[in-house]
Amino acid sequence: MALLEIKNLHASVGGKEILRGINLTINPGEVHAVMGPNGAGKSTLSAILTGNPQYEVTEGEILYKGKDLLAMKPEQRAWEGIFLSFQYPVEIPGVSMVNFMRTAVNSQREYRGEKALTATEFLKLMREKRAVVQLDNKLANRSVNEGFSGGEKKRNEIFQMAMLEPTLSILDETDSGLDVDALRIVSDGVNRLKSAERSSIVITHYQKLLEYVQPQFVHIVYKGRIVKDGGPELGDRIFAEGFDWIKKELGEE
Amino acid sequence: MSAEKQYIELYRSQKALIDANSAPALNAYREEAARVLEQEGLQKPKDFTHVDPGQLLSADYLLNLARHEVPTGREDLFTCAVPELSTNVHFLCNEQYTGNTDKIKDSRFFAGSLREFARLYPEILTAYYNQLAGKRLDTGDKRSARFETCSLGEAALNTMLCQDGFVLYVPAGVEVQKPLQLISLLRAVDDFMAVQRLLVIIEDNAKASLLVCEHASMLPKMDDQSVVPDLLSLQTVEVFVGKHASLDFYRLEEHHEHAFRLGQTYVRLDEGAHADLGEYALTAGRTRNRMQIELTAPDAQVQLYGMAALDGEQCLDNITFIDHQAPRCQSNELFKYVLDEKAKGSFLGRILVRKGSDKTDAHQTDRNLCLTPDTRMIARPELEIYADDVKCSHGATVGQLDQQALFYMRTRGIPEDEARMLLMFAFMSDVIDGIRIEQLKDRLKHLIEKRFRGELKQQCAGCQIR
Repeated sequence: MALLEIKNLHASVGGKEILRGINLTINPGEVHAVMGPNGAGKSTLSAILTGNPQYEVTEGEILYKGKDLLAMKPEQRAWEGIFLSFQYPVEIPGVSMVNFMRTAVNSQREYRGEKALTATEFLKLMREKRAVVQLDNKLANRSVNEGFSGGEKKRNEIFQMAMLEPTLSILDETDSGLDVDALRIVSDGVNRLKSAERSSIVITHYQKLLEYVQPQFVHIVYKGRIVKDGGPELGDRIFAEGFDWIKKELGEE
Repeated sequence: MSAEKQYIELYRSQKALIDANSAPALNAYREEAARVLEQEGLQKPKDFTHVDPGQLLSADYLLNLARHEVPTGREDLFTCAVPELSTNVHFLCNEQYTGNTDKIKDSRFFAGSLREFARLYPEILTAYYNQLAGKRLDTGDKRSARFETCSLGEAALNTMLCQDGFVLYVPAGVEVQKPLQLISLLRAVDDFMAVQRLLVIIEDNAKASLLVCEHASMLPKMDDQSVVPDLLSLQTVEVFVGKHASLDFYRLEEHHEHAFRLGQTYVRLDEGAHADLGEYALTAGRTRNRMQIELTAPDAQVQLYGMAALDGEQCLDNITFIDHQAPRCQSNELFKYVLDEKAKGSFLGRILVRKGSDKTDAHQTDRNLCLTPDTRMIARPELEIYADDVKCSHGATVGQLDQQALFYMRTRGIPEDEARMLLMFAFMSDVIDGIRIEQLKDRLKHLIEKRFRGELKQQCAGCQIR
């Protein structure tokens, strides 16, 4: 069974239609790259998948593990294993990383019928996963993302991903604003989570991340639709030539 | 007949009874107070506030002028939500001081009944009592303030009827290490007004911490068991902090919808004095707090915190006035409200920097969260500066929970209610973190969490009022 099936998805924000019929199927173990020019609808797709209340689905359906994803609250989607690495992680002054993560992990465990982690177990897990993305202990003791640099925020996203071990992870331009070392750390973090059951959607503008993460499938989103599907070679061509040739193929310009 | 006339008449007819159950040093102020009340009246409500003192006071309340003993207020009758804070707990039931848990009496300072203090030390009492509440503060500026912070008439009503209350007197040089706790309970089986008076005197180079926990019982009315009586606390607090003295003074309010509070707090700081003041309302009925803080000599510092968590139809006004009268003084004000359902709040904060108060450092912050469209919040900062070399700032915001933060938390699997709670708690954190009594800080965090989880509605946790 497919992990995720998006069928004829239309969505709008503030009355403006952004997605105009997205179709996409993702099977367990697959890594898909989603590319496209700015404003094509890539981030909207990630917002819809995670249930952002600002976006409205006007048509179509999404099945996740065979269940109606759109009927689930954002938190339930998280418990079911969906994770979004935000393009712009949110700062939450006054909420400590530890408290935030413990509440998240234990809510997920509760949903799955598992016992809550004890304080010791939890801190041990934090230590382990922090090492994966080389996130400073100092940061873990601060408020969520508050005063973090751009790179630290992105590493913090991958740290949270490592803590929650999602089945479907969506990386929304996680590579933007990262230097080479940070990019390698983030990619390592992503690769460690790869398995036959887990899948990823990687939204990016850059070649480097795809070199590290190696998607099997590449999709080009343009004006709210997937206009081209292919393998890694499609990504290579985009990096070499840009999107103009696709626009030409579509009869534009 | 107007409310003030009724009270004056009551006083005239019951003067002998009132006097007999108080102390001569307190009785000496009544006639003058009656005259001031007659002249000033009870202040009409101004714009920008929600609680109308005139309306609250015009209802018929019983008063306990004969000082019938109320069978409660002792530690065996109830325990406060802030337990083990102090081994030194004092009790006030309505206006009456009813005892304490002091095992070993520390004779270096006085903490106890106002009536007893007035009988034992009339000369000390007279040096301080009504010195702040009984006079209109001459602000010296030509422009008349848009609102008067404290009401002379309301204070006069208190002075006219006051029979007892609580005194903390710490003589010069004495440092009281352990925090003192005063548990104040409103308790009656009919509509009742408690005329409460607190006097806090910290002399030069002395030091003390005082926490006041205010509760209201929910006993039904004697003649109608289906109704909880209206309980009104008319409270006047006078605080003196001497040269280089230090005081922490926190007030924790856990009232219910039938409990009303008209409070006036006057604070005077001398040279180099430091006061940390906090007004924490976990639940309120209808409350109006007025605070007047004078920094009278150089290098005095005051930190003023205010917090209110309101829901239902709860209503709370804070009206503050910080008066910088001397150079190099610092004041820092931080008020935070979270309003839910149909709650109403207001914060009117005036800061006056008088001529010659150079190097003043004064800051005011008022931030408010309105969780529903039916809540109302009024924020009104007023800065008046008549000195040149000063740092003075203010900021006021009224907003909602950060929707982006809420969504971010939910995508991590934090349920919406829990995420809201964490955000509200985070919003309040800085107003609690500054508290200088560690145990109170921890306890308050716990209570606020309970409050936001809805586990503290109208009855405080751990406080088993029987």
